Amino acid sequence: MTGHQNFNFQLAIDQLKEILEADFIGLALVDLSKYYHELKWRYVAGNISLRYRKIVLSSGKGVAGLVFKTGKPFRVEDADERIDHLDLYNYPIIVFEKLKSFGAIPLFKDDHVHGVLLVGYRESNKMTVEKFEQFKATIGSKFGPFHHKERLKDDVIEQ
Amino acid sequence: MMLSSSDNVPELLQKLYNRTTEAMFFFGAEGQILSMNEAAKQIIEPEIYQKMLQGEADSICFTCRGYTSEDEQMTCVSCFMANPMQTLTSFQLYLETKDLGVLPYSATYQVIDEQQQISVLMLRNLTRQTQTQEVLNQKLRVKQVIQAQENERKRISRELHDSVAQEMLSSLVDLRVLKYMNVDEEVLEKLRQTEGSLMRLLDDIRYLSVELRPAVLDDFGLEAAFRTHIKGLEKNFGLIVNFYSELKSNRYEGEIETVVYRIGQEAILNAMKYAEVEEVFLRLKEVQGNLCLEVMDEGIGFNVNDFTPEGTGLGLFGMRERVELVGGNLTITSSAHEGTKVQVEIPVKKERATSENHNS
Repeated sequence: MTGHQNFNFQLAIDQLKEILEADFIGLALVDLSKYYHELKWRYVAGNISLRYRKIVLSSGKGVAGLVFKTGKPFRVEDADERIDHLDLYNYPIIVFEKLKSFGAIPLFKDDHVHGVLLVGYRESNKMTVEKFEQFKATIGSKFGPFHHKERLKDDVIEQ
Repeated sequence: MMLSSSDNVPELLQKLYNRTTEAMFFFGAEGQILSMNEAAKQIIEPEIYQKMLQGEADSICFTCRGYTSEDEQMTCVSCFMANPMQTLTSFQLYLETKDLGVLPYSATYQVIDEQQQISVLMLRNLTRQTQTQEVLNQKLRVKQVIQAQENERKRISRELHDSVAQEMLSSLVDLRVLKYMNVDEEVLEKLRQTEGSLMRLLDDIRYLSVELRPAVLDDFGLEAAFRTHIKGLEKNFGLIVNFYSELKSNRYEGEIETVVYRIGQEAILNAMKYAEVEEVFLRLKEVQGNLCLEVMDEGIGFNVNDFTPEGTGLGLFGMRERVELVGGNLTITSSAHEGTKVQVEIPVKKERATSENHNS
């Protein structure tokens, strides 16, 4: 459906969830088959609602949109502290899945961001710097057809 | 009615002097105070009152903070006391009052005995009138700001839609033509990527244009505009809006449609931000010549009469102002177990809206 069938994404994120002891994992991918490139959450693990399916992510908005646009990882250790609760509606996936601590990385293909991988916890201060490093190390340089290439050094966007 | 005999007048005057809410001061030739009534005593700081009683010249200056001239709010330039032989009615005077700070008064200064140069100053409290005037001015200003904002948005939105997006589209077409020319696979792949980013950019521009002001509101009316907006909300925020409309494709005056659309938008946004709900109900209907909009949620509610705005508090204020702009009514009811309901009723003159009255 999305033109990435050859790799078992569901299995990959299920495994990742276990390794990182995460509460939620989401994988947003660009739909290549559509004429029009649509970024949506395609694979999830540990979700508590199905509302993620409704959302079409636009570049530059929300967690996935930000990572998609900038091509840089994004980490929030304590969502309550970092994101003003009045601004929270701009991060629907965080609200729907009640995430308190999360990190997201871009997935590249031919130097373009084609997907975003989000790892989240429902308790604050879980996504520490070490955890984020572990997350990136676990993914390694390749995730299915994608490579986890960072254009610059490991700079996390500090909001 | 019998004319009161002249013996009665002093008694009545004495009563008036003691009971009136207007402060009265009698001045002698030097500006010394001969007498002050109870009302005057009430507004003056006790210490200054005692000082004024001692009959110093120009002792009114202890409490007077100037009068309003055409040039200044409070000034002493050509003070009314400087020329004691003239009579001045209804000018605005500021006094330093007990407890309440500097307040405006409507003053009358009059000479009542030219031989002995006795004059009287009477003051009427103007606070309420000044406040009313201020509120009125503020409302007018807000209305002008709202209208200016709407016009400006319309202009930018059109500019984006008609010229920026169009240009972008023609470049996109040019780019697509390239794909059918004799180019190798590597170039083709790069072309596809560029096409993809351009498409996304075009989408962003269109989204921005609609966000600023939906052209569909001008072209197809409220129902269509709300449907588009709701689709956007679901896509961007995963919010479900249950929309019931009995309007069909009825059209109203441009101004009314804008007001209803903006209030609907604001109310839904409020529900999404504060009510902690996943679902909002939106209803549009026309009842007895009134266009009705209802936005409801089953969220946590708030105390309508006494709440501390979590945001700027301008949203609610703006909604009210917008409704008043078209002579409508806004009712907000909210409680912790029933959620919040925003109701708007606007009297409408049935009219076929054309894009003309939208552009005015």
